[in-house]
Amino acid sequence: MKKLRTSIDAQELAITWRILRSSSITLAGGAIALGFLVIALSVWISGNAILPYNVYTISPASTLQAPSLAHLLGTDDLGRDIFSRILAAAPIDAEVALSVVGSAVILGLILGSIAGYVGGRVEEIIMRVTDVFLAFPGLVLALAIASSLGPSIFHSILALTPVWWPSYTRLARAETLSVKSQQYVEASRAVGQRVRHIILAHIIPNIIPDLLVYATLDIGNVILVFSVLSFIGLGAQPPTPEWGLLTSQGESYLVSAPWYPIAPAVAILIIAIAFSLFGDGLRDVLDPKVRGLFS
Amino acid sequence: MSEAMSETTNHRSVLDINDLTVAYKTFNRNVVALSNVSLDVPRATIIAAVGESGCGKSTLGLSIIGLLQRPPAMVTGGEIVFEGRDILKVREAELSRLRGTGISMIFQEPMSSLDPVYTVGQQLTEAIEVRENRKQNRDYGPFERTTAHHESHNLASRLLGTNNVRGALNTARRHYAAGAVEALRNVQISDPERVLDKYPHELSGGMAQRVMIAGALVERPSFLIADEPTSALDVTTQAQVLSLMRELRDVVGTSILFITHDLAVAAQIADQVIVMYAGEIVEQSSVKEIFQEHLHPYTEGLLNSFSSKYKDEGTMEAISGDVPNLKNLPSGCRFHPRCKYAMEKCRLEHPEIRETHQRHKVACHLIS
Amino acid sequence: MQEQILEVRNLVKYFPVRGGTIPSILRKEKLWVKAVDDVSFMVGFNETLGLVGESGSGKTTIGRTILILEPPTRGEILFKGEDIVKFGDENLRLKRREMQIVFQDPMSSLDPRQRLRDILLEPLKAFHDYSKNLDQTKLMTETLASVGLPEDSLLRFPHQFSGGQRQRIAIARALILNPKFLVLDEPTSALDSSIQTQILNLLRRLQQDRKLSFLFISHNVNVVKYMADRIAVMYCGKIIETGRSRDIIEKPLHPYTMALISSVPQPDPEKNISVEQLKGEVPSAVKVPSGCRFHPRCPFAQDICKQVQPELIEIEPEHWSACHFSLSFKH
Repeated sequence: MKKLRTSIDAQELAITWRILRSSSITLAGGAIALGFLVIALSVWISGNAILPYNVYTISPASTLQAPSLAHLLGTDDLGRDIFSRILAAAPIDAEVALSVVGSAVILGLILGSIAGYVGGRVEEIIMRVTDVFLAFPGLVLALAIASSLGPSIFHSILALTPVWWPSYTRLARAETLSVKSQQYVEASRAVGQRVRHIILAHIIPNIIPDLLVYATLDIGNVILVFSVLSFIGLGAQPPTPEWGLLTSQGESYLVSAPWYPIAPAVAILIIAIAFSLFGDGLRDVLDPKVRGLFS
Repeated sequence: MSEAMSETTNHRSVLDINDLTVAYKTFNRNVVALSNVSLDVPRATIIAAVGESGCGKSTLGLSIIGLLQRPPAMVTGGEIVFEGRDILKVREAELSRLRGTGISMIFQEPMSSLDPVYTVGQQLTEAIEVRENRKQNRDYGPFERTTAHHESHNLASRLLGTNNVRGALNTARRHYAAGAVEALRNVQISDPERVLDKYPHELSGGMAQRVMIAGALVERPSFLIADEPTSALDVTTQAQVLSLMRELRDVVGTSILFITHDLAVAAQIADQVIVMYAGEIVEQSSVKEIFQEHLHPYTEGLLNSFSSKYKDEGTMEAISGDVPNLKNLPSGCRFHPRCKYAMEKCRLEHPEIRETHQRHKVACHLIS
Repeated sequence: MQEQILEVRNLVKYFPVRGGTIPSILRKEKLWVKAVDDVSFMVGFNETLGLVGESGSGKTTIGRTILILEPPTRGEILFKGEDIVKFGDENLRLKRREMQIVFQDPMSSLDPRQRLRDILLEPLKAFHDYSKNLDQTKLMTETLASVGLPEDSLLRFPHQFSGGQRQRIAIARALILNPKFLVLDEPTSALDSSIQTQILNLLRRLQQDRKLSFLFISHNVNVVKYMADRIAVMYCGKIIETGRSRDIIEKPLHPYTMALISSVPQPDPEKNISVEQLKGEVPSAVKVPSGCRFHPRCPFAQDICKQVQPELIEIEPEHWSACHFSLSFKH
């Protein structure tokens, strides 16, 4: 069983916090990203109970109402509160994003570190397979898999993961090569350690931080692409609320009830940008030069 | 302080540093890298700045030539007078005009100072042309490429930076300034014509360093800062480079600030030595006196580290403790925790640097 | 009977040349970087052999090849009488317990993500059978004490230590399994001078206390003088002179050694480096000069030097030199 011991250093955490705190953009992005995850979690745990309105009840009397105090973002063509539906979509998008990115990170970590450390034939095989996947434009690949599997959220996860894992494999391999050349890895060999131990105890803990930064940046991207899949009709299916799906459903009302498509579209925009900005800030956290300035 | 110093100063001082203090801004406080450093450099003199990590010797060099990254570095006090002006207060555009022919610098890693996309000959030619044009008082801006100032609408020549398109593409017929070959011969490079066509990555460390010195010789600066120029070189190559520096002093009259951690190298090259510790000069004197009549306990400790005993001749005495952390300097005398002669006074009061006898300065309570 | 802890015979390490303008498939003959070219030497029990050389001499490669961190191209490495080149992977790994290495760079030889305790435990974990009956905590604290580090530093990370302290950690890690042989690859070159002396003194004391044998690799002649009983001088992949420290430094018999010794700056302004400097550059290890590798730069070179490679011959008792004219340099 894998026993990964990542030691946590309080002083280093303090420096990390200082760096994150120093840029208001990073803080803003981080706050929004965190807020998103908190909302997603609360909505999921409560089973939509904490939302102001039921997201599935149809009320023909209050269709297409403009934003007001009662309905913060208005209602849609079936009388459902748009604000509630947008919040209800959060756990779905979060689930998809975290599943896809999570699997990609784990797969990439394993394959990349083995490829990088062992080298030779093994590396060739792994990297060439990776190259094949990378050769496909991401969206096209996702669409192809999603449409052949049939539209559903779970199938979307299955469709998106193959698009994402190759870049993590590449990154993990590159990082592994750089860590492998460090003397502490050679010292480990000199002290008699076996390959399996070196990869688990030295390579992986040292490449995880960079992969995590990349992953954070990617969460927004996955949400974006998943929204596109739903927009086309291959992802979430009605009546499940999902931002891309909501946007597509509201498309025909762009002129008559603009709040309907615009609100979910803006939600996608804000979340994608927030994760991207936060990920940028995380990059600074890893830069030893920046760390030195803050210690 | 500066008036009193200029009284005893040789009027032909090339460079005058008075009370220089430089700090680095970190997130919650300022770390002082140099404290009240004063030094005047006479003409045609090699001064070795000796010290270990954190002593401030590199910061000193960078401050003089104005290459400190500010921020995070800040000059919080003092002046550096060169050719009658305080160059700390001079603007970048004018400062860059001083560089090369006035004040020049060579570094430990010559590879990083040479542009990898131009041949040795092209870079030497640039140095020569800058020198020529400064002589004729043509005004040069900071980073203009002198070999490519032709107005040309031809895309190829604009891309290649010259009107001589064929020449630029044909490596055998590159045109270099006349002095380039001579410059390489002066640094004992045996087949200069071939080396002119080489790119920096094709040179060995020793060769690259000699090319840097050739460039310095061509520019004939009044003052050269050499920051650990031989530390990355083999000892046999080092000997060659050191003799070239002596030549620079003797033939061109350049004064050199030779920064090094190696006291033995300082013994070979310097006329004067300043010993630095934790951002201060703790002892300053002629090279002979530093070695034969040193006064500061740190100097004594350093000398012990360089003594060469055989294995069976007993133990060398080591200075105890670690090089100080600039963020957390000891009170009083910065060396006191490691000093075997430390007294109570050393912990309480910071010793100021004083001249003990002719041209020998020390900062230590033992010597009053 | 074993007189030596280590005996190296005819060690060769070539690296394939990669890159260059002509791809290797098209080249008619394969090109090799001849880093170590037929080197033989011995290290006795409780003795230090100093290996001196400049860049391109091959000394660092030797250090790593002896421990088979790089597999040798040819040759025999007899550790306590057994040729470890012939060992299989697992036997080699087990042998590693007795032969350790301390690297040059204290910054990169310790995993920045491991606490000191884990760094020291790692060797013990690698040799579980050996260490399972030991009191590991006691062993760690004792080893730390022997290198001058306080016990409370066990929970700290490498970046919280200074360069000198990190090197002490590296030494502790190398010693915790109680090996009898250490390769020290420029162990103090990256340290400040005042700290260098501390570490060198520590190594000397440890050698005395534990009866260790050292292969001490360095480009710094003064450091090697202080540490070594015998010295081997390397040039361009070969040992060109070897003997007792005093003989090598005071009565060198090879022109390269003479040039090397005289180029070393002495901390005495009255003693200037000899004006007669070595011309030229260290030759490439790919296109090695014919005959004696030093002949292009040697002030005494004759025709024979270009044609015939000199062998290491015992010129004076226990003083060997590889030069056709060493006899004429005898003092």
